[in-house]
Amino acid sequence: MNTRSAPEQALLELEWIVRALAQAYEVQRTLFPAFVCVADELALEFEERSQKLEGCPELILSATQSAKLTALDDALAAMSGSAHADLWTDEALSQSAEWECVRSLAAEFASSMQWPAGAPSPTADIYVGPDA
Amino acid sequence: MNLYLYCRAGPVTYVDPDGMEAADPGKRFRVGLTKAALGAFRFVPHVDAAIEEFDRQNQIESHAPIDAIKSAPESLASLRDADAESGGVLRTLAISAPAVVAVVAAHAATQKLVGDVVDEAAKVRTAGSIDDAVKHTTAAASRAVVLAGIVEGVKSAPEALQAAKNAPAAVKNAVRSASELVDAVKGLGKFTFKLDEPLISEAELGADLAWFHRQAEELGDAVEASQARATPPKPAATSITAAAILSDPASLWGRSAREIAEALNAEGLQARVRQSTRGSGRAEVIDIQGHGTLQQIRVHPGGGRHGGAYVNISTSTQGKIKVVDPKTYVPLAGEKARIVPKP
Repeated sequence: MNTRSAPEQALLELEWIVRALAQAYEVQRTLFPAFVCVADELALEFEERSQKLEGCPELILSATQSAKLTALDDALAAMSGSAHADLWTDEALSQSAEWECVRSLAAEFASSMQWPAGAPSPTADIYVGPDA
Repeated sequence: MNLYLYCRAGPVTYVDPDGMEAADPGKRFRVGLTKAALGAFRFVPHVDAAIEEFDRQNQIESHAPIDAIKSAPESLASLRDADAESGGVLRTLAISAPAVVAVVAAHAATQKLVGDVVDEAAKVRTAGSIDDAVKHTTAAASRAVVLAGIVEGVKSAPEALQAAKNAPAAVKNAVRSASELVDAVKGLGKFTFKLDEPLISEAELGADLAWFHRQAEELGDAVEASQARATPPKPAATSITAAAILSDPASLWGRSAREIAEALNAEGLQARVRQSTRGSGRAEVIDIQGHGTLQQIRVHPGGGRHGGAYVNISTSTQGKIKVVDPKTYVPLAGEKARIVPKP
């Protein structure tokens, strides 16, 4: 049973996605099953988890940490939407300068949070899949 | 001097029964005949029910004109015989009844057109699909429209026939034959035919065919409605509730974000649909408030290496649950995803 507090849980979830964002493409693709659009999933997970963090006012980041988190979020926001559809493919995730920038910003934020630089553990997500 | 000035020098095209204005009588009948051509659909067995429904809705009482078209060759042949029998008197009469001479003169050409109509109707009978049936019925209709009003002009024939009543017996006999033919040909739905060119312009024909296509579309709708009535209703889909989502996540498969949110709102939760603000923007996100476990649902159209849509359910107790498209999901060797087959 999960006994963590909401802020602790939110922070753990954010750590997972930020570390995932900081990884090379070859690592990132192993973190998700093949049916998802990995680039999209990285951004969507970040969106969800960072919002969860906002729901924990008791969790206070330092000014530096907040600035780095904001920079990471801003970078993803600037890339988002149908106008930038070319950035949401496996090819772009592996080769584009934009995604390299995201990796760099994610690594900086992870470092400021003193999170490990390595890849996060695979998730324990449940996949309700094909009929048996 | 042109004796046909009263009908714009076009005795085959125009009639002027009251001497006031020349008119193209065929126009009035094209719609009717096109509807009759639509009756050719009757030959397609599997749309019989739809035909009946279509007829009922459009108050079409009978498809007699099609039957008349089928017998037109015989009717026209009898006219030729009548003309021969009258020693040409019929032709003489026809001078004052322009449409009758049109029938006589156009005999051979109309026979071919009538034959074409019958052939196309036969093809409708053996059509393997609605599209084929529409194609052949359209072909039949286009010819029928050209033929439309063959002896609509013959409506002016009664005047000529009335005059002929005062003619000698031999002429009366010929007139009787002609009169019988007039009745027979009237049953065709009326033709107006000119030897060298159809009386109906391409634009008019196009308008008629457009009308026909609209009718065909209505017929298609009627077919669908008929089929829908014949198809037993699907059992009601499993209702969406937060509890059902958690116990059977796969029940969300195929549901739209809006549908899911509406169901959750109806349950008393606060579910709001929005477009994702990060990423490609193609995913729809449902933020859920008021439920202890269910937090967010994402409906994604897919786009991964294997493609296929998926639904992501975020919970506070079971982590994330992803519902995968059973048709497109192909696990990779060594994939870390834990697959829980649908119960």
